[in-house]
Amino acid sequence: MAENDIPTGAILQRDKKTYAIVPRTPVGLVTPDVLEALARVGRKFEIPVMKITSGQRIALVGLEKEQVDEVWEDLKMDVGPAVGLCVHYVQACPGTAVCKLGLRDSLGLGLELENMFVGKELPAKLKVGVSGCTMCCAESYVRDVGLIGKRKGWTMVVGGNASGRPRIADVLAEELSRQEAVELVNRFLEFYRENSGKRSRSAMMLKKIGIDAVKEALL
Amino acid sequence: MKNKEIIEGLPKGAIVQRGGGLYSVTPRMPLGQITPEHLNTINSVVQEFNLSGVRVTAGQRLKIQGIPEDKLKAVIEKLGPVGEFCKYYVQACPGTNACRLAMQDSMGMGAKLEEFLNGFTLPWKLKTGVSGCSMSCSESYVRDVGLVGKNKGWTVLFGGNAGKRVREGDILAEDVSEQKALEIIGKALDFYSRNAKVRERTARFVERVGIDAVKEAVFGSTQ
Repeated sequence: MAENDIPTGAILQRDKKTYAIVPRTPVGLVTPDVLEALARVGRKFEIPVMKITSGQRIALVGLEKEQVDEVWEDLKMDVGPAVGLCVHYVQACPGTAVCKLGLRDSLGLGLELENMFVGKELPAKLKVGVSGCTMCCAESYVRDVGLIGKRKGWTMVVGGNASGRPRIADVLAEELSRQEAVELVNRFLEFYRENSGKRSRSAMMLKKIGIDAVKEALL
Repeated sequence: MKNKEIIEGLPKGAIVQRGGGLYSVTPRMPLGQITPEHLNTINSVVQEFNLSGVRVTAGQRLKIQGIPEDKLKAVIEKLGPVGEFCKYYVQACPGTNACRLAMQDSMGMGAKLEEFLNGFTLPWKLKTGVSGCSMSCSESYVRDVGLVGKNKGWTVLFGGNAGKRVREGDILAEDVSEQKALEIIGKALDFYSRNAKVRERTARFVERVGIDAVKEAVFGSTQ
């Protein structure tokens, strides 16, 4: 099947007939309206599987092709990128908004980054994790871009990966203000876009060129 | 200590939030599977008690937050069967149920593992990930217990961590059946339970005792 036959925001499943969709739920926050909408479409379209993903989203699996547009129409939610070569999601722990241990506002920074960068086209998919303290509940050290809240500011790490070939991210900068962190993420994404081959994840780029080259270019 | 009394008096599974006075609960929803009925139950509780919100967590669960102390018991009761707490979480990718790339049934295996882990009482928290292929979408290499589905069976990993001191799990076995994988995990966890320090995660435990000691406990010294 040609790729342009696949409906918007849908992922073809194993049976090569049905699709999955992943609505956008930035940093995992959902409202009663979102829950209601998901419950409503789940029942109305008899969606076989609704599954919470590790990226703090809810996937609806097993949709017929002609249902995809109708479901999106009914949900009135945005698409959460799940297959494209772009920023997929920003994961964040509760941070100072809720958690007793939080040192920084990870939800706030996570939301800001999500709004700015999700869907941004890149050489390969990119995952972001924002943790409000060094416990690293958003697993920042194994994300392409990780932020860790410390007493004196944000630590930014890059090039991590948690897949079949795990890689611990390198520290790019420390003691950043929120504004500085957002700017540095932006500059890193630009650098990655210009310096990485197609489908090469940030971990592979870092392995190839080393963190010092990145530091030299960005700091 | 007042704090300690409060924490010990809490219904199991409730977590105190920052600032005190408010709690959050994370109902059990193995492998992240939910139904419209679950969503409706959670939604009606959020609305009835006028709670601040719900978050999707990275552990494939929904966390209900902002519950005042005096409403905590009522909230948990209302959640009913959804309110049962998850002991050790199992993260799983869709596997052969849905994914085009999958080599093994990660959802099926995940369900068995969840069941199996409920029989254990471990020294500290344990996170597990079951991936249906070597892409490792459940991040099996950085979980305390990780399973990766390959052509010929399961790869069993032990001692991984994705926190502030990342550790890649060690391979305990490859190409094993579901049953054999659970057996190996059981033996490794027994050894960990008997020998770990208080609040010692598997990653730190393996660093301290060495993976060979774990392998010996699992397979015997002849191997």
